[in-house]
Amino acid sequence: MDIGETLLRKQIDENLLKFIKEHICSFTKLDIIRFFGLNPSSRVDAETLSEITNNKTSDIEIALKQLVKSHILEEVKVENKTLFELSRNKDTLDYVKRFISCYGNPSTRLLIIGYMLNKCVEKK
Amino acid sequence: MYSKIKLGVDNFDDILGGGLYEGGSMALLGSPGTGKTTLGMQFIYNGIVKYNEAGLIITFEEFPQKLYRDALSFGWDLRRLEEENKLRVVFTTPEIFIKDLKRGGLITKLVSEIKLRRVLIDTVSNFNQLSGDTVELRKLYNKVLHSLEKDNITTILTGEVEEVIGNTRMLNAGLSYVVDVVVLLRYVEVEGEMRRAVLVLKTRGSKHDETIREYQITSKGFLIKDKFEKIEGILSGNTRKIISERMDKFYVHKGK
Repeated sequence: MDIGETLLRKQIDENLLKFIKEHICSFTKLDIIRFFGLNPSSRVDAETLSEITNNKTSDIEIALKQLVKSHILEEVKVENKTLFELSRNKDTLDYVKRFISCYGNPSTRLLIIGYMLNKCVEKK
Repeated sequence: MYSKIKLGVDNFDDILGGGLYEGGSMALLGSPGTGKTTLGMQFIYNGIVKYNEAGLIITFEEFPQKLYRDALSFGWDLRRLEEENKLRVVFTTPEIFIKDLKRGGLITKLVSEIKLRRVLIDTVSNFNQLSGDTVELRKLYNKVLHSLEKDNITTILTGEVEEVIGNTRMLNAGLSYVVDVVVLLRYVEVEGEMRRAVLVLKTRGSKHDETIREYQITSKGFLIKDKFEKIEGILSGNTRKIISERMDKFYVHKGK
């Protein structure tokens, strides 16, 4: 376990850390979850999310697919458009809400970003 | 008997002739900063807390997080109401919203999930992205309103007006014709001071107050005051004291 993870453990509980590890393991996903966490009833397509978060549409599409697979987001078909919204599952809403609250704290935010950067370096 | 629903804003329901018809629609037109979104949010908030009617806010430009923040400055905790399943604040695009109006789409879902009764669409000026053709735009407005009327949902649509003062040019061609009520919010310059005026231009099927009233946006939201006394030219932007006032002053001055 690296120092970043050790420090992060002091700020957030085990379940939330697991949620971050498993579901918010990239900056694209972080942007998406932050958007839906702050705007929980929003219903948008991949292109709009790409504009809002300033990420490539192709990256957003991959991240959205994974988030739908892990039941954090739900996919809605409207005519020829695929829209995405936050799952109404109580546990998911609770995790996302707690994540947004932690992320709002500057010191925890830095630790989360540091932790994710380390994971990115590890992957490379 | 057709029932009316109240906005719950002191004096505003009175100038509308008792409120809005259930299932009806109102266009709130005004330039930036006149309080269109604030009044719309107050309609939704009051609907939930005063009349137990669930609401939906559709926002095309502002992120919901900003609306939560702005509403909180008036003491309206929209985020809490959303968590209590009495409200949804949906950020979307005009294109998606229009497509989503079909049966089984967002509105049908919310009618069954939260018993939706009131909707705020902020702002229909964004529909201009979909078409530059006024006939096509009018069709779109009708599509939106008919879809909401079907479920007896009362709707406020905000729309932008280009000029801050002076002659008004609506950016939402055709909207005023398709809605039941049209309310104009505008700035007026009176003796070197910027004040705000509200005027009901139209109410379909009911009488309304035809005076131009002053309003303020206070820490609790909209406050409708008395009509502008002894001033004319408010709509043209060329405000001046009415002639009798000027004559009185003239004679007093001459008499001295």
